[in-house]
Amino acid sequence: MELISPYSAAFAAAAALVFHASPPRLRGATLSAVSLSFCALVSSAAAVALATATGFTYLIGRALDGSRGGLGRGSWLSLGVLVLFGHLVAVKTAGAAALGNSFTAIVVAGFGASYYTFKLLSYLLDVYWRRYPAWSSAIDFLACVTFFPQMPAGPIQRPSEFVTTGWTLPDAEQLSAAFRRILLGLMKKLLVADQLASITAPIAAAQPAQWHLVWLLAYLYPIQLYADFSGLADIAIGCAALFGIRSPENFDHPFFVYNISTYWRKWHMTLTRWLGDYVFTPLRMATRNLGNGGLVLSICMNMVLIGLWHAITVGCLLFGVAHGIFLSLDALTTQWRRRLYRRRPGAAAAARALGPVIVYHMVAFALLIFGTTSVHEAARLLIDWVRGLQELGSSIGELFAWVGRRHCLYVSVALTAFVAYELAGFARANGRGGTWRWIEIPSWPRPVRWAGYYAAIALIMLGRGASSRFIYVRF
Amino acid sequence: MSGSRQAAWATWLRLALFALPIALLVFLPVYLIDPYSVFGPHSIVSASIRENYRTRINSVLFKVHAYTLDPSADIILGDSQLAQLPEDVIDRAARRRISNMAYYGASLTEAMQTFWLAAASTHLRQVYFGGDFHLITMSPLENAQDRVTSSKRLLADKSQYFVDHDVLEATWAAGRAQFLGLETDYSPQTSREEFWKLQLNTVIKPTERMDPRMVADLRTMVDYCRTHGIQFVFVLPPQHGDVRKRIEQAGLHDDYESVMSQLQALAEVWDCDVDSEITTDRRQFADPFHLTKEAAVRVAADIWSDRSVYCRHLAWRGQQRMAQAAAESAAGPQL
Repeated sequence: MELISPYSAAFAAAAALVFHASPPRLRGATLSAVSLSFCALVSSAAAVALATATGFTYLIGRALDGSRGGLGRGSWLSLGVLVLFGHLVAVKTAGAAALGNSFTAIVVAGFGASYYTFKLLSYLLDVYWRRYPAWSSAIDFLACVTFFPQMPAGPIQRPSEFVTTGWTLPDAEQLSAAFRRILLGLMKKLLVADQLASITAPIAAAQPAQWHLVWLLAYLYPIQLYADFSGLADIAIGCAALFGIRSPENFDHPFFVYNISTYWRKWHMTLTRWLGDYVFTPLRMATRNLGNGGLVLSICMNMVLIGLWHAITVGCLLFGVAHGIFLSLDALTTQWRRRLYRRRPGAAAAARALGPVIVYHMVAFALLIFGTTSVHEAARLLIDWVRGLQELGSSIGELFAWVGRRHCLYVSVALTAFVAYELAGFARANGRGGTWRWIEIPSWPRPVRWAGYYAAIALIMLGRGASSRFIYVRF
Repeated sequence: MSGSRQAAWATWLRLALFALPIALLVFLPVYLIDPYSVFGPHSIVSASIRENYRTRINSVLFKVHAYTLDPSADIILGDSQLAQLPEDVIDRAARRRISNMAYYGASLTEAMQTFWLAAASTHLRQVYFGGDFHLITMSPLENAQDRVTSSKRLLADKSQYFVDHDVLEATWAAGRAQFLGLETDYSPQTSREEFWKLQLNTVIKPTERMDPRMVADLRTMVDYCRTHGIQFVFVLPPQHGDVRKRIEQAGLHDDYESVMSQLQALAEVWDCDVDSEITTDRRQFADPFHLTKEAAVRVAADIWSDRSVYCRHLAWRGQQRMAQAAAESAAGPQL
């Protein structure tokens, strides 16, 4: 089953209707059944792996909670963490290898594994640290962990944030908002991300022959990735709302920031918060006597783990190291910069103006090396990025000839509209968007609203090319 | 039922009402017209109209679907130059069924993906891989086009058929032609002479080179055929002599010879891009690369006949070397 198709939309709508029609005491069971069915439609092996890992974690959680003698709490935790890590590595590597290591194989074998394993790990750690007791209802726990809208690409909603009390249904307003959010996600994915992918994917595949186009890949890929990933997050959050589940947000306009540390607080927020709570903070506590060295070590370890979470490759490792260095420099110079900005307001203004540009380049730099397989390849791409900028005119000419002026115009319009939408959202979120109030769709009269929805659907149907797969589904 | 629950059900009802026009105006026509015959042979639009538009808009989807339903052991791969050769004429000339799996506007990647699709679907016997200098030297950017994989994905989840851009366009064009008598014109809006020149200058670029990765992929395919007892033949389709002149003008003479040599080193070559009554006569061509319908029938019948007059058969160099080695060993040690 494709993640974006009328079939999957019908599945989600039917699942939500069954959930709404179920009596409250059966809603947990309904949701579990629906979620496992969704997973089984993608891969029955993945569904079995998911159910097994969830059942195992539930039992370990119960054992942790009730542990008095015999195996100690630490032993139960170690067992749980080891098995879950082993499970993650097994489904992501051995499973994919058995199925041929193709994109489909990786998705099928490890469907949602990174996301649900992190949910399960945080659950065990929280129960171990006695932040909350182990869940008593196995069915509710299964519903929480296997919740299908979050399976493909998050957000990572920890069991402690997943409110099942009473399984409250959404009201009419929440339902309408949910549908709008899903539509927004589809537009981001199909009209922006896929259109950009029609340019970036061939350029990436054509390396090193088309080295002079690397600059285009470097500048377009971060926006493509953001539209793709945040689009999927919108769909997941909207789908979750159909079941009355409030999912955490995963993005908060990450490119309108002045420094890289703020970027990481606004990009894939549920993952960075997870690693912050369960990796960075414990590490920082353990290394607090080492001063700045401990800080740098904690940051770098954290970022390397974020890189390797995506895949165990040289490119992902380099991605983590690059961001570790950026964040360390940012952390070590914070005080100095604050003093400078207080003394020289001009420097503060320059930092505000240039900050987003510099951050974008840092992100582009790290993403460019993300997909590489060796240090040599990463270095070559970075050199080609700079070399290509010297041949800007001819490469734009080649781009026009290759994709056609019409498609270039279409992509430019989609890109401009997306950036304008993001800017408007950012202005609204920061209380400066009085003039942008018109983007609040619920305030529109119903005929205008419906016309807008139909127009959006027509655009999606007619404007899309062949849909590429969601990038983050593979993790 | 509480007021809030009633309001929630009313929202679901409004959603159904909202979706109804989409179902009636988009999904139902796609199902009833079914331009790519995914739901069977029945349609409210005539077969000829559907074939006309599906071929022009996306010839890959229909062919991939038809082949997966009824695969044949002999296949033709390539781009429009081979795609335009009528299958029934080829079958009669070859006296067996050969599926023409060449596509309009194909990339080398698509041709190779089709090979692997066919190899996974049936036990292949003969593969005719058609491609001119341009297809073989297609740039990595152009080779990124892969409609075979997207067609396979669409056929695996047929609900996507109802929202696919090409299917919607073909449904619209076929419906208009059938019920309103309005034909959609996809032909170039320029004079024959201008189009002839445009094709020559835009298709053959001075930067044409064989991509080493594509050569490696071709070799993998040919090696697979050799180890599985499948006969593999490269077919160089006939082109008007102007194409060769343009290749010379673009300074690509050596590259052309190199491509020929590399193909021959891989497998047997049927070279139809030689001087003949077809390639020297402009009237036989719609543009420098594509034959007229009548000429396509003649060429199709000729290429797969026992004695082709338009093509020369060049043996695989490896075979020549093997034969030479066998002859030398049979002659015994030379004193």
